[in-house]
Amino acid sequence: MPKIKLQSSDGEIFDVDVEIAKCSVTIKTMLEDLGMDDEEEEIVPLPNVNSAILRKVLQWATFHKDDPPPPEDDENKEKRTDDISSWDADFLKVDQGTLFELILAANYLDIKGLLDVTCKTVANMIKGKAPEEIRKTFNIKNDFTASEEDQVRKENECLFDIF
Amino acid sequence: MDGVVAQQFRMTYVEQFVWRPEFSTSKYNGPGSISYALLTLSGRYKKYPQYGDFPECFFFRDYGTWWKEEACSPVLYRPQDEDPLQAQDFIVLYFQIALVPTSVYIYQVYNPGAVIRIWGKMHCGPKWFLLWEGPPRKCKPEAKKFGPPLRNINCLINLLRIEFNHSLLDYHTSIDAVLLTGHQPLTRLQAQIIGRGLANIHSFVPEPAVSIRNDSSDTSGNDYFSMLPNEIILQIFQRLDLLSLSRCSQVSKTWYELSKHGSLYHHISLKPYWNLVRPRTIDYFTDRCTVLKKLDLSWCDQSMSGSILSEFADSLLRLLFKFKDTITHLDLRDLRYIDDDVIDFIVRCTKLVELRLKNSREWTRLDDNFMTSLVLLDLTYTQINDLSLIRIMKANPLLEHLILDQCEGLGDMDALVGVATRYNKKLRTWRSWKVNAYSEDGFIMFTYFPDLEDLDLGWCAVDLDVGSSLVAIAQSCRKLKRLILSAWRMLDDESLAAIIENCKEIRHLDLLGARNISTNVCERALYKLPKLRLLDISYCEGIRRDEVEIWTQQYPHITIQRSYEINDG
Repeated sequence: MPKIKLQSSDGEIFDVDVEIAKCSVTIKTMLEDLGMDDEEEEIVPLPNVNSAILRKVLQWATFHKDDPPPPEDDENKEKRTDDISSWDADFLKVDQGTLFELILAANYLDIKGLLDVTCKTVANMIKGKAPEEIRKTFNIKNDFTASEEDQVRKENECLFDIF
Repeated sequence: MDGVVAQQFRMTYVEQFVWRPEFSTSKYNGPGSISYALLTLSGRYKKYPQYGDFPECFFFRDYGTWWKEEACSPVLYRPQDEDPLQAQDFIVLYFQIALVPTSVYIYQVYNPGAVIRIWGKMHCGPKWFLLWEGPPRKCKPEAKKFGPPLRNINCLINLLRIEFNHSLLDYHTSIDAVLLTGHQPLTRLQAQIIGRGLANIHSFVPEPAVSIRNDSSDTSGNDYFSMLPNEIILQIFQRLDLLSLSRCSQVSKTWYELSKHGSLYHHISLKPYWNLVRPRTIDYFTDRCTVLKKLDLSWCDQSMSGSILSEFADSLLRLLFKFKDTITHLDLRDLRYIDDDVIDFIVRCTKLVELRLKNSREWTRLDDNFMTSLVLLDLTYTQINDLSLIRIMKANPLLEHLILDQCEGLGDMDALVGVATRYNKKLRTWRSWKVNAYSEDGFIMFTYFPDLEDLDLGWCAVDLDVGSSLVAIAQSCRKLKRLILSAWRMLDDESLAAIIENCKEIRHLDLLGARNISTNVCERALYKLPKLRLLDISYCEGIRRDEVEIWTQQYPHITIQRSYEINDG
């Protein structure tokens, strides 16, 4: 199987099957646009992805290399968050920093399936939590003034009769 | 289990059966009939502990997962907001004495196990309390007095709502009676205190729809969200339910702005929040949405007072007026505020593709129609008349699914099919369970719909000899997957044989009450219809029960229904 060399931001070089690398639409387009020959030993630099994350991305891509292409118009499927496979769930048992870097890498490399499953994982971390719990989970600073916070809370009281 | 309040106040213990059943989302018969009707739920049980199919007890129409697999079945507009227990139907029951509940007993006399939630409504307020919830269960075929442990609620209730999920049932579920027990205040002062919830020691914050997972709080102190571009945060928000989104808007200024983004609100489904939705909830989305395409408001009218119902109607009118040029899907099932004024606004939504109005009983007329793109129209249990329906049918040549179950206002069914043969040639679903009878001339016109997959003519030909027209239908409609011929008493072997020869796609065949069909021809259906999965031969007197038992062994992939009959063997 033809190989390709990918270079992470910190200089590490990965020898990868072309077919696996092509699950990234960014790399696939790059190869097609450049008309890169499989014989050539050219190195594709990926300045936005470090080696730790690239290794994870390639691990994911290798496991999913035979997945059927995601359906274009199945918007309902991608909005569910209860259908993460057990392999993906295990794969994504990582610290928050890695999870968010995976999201950025999936976005930059344009890997729809990985972006989808990482966004679902973060969505599941938000679901069912109160605003303060969300802030705590993600270390988000509450930058509302007291009166703004009050107003936003009132606005949401109008939404559902619960708070 | 007795509430703290009951001990403090030394209240009287009361047991009471239903005083007046108020509402149900499903019924086997129309309001003209007392058999299987909601009304049978009032008072003491009549049949329990007997087990079986009794006309004296309340019956639901749906069972199993068959209904989910049909072309006209509802598809969630917003899967992010799916009800985890997937309630399909509910009943609302009024009890004479308001009390602090200790237990609820549901006397199930046929196919028990479908109860998934019990709610109680505050005696003097709009709040509903969840008393119990749990997944549907597979139960033995025997009468069951179901009394799950209730949450301790120190509040007076006199209205119960029971929700059902029929997906594990082999056949219709039936309920004989419901008993509510609890403590009644002795004095007016007690009643005031408890009735207003002042003695309530709980704070009623609803449980999150999804249980909080192992908390994955980050200990590094980094706000990784700030790394993400807004477009990705929006992608994450796209996957959140509406309640979580409302909580997100209170997290920070950035999240507040992002959570208001119009792209998150193209599809709104409020049904899972029926108990939290007020008219102002609808106003909120009217203001927030920029483009609204799909809206599911079914079940969201749970306030019993008339003035609030008209506020609901006013809010819906404002919403429909704003989005009349963008809405494509509208699900308004089981709402009691859909009246003629609301209908006037609905029919001005010119882009409507799907319209579900089941159970809109306040609606009496349709003056105008501007809808021209309808593909699906569900009018179950409505009072629509021939003229109004014909007006809609003529204007909507793309119509594929028409559901007219128990539409009592329809008079001349033959004429309606006649209109469809000219204007709605694409029909795939025609459901007319328990409407006025057709004549042979009406039936023969179904041969004009070669794409028909789902044809429900249950109880529409009770005493008519329809042999030749059924043969013609079988020869023309070869794509039929679901064919309901309940109570076609004159159905004969010859017409059944024609169905078996021609309609090889059939999955669901209902022959309930076809007393003349023979064992031979019926068995042929089992081995000559390769896709058959559900066959109802209840009350088919020509078929012996012992034969059915042998078939059940021989054809395990087919569910054969034979309703329990008291005099049967």
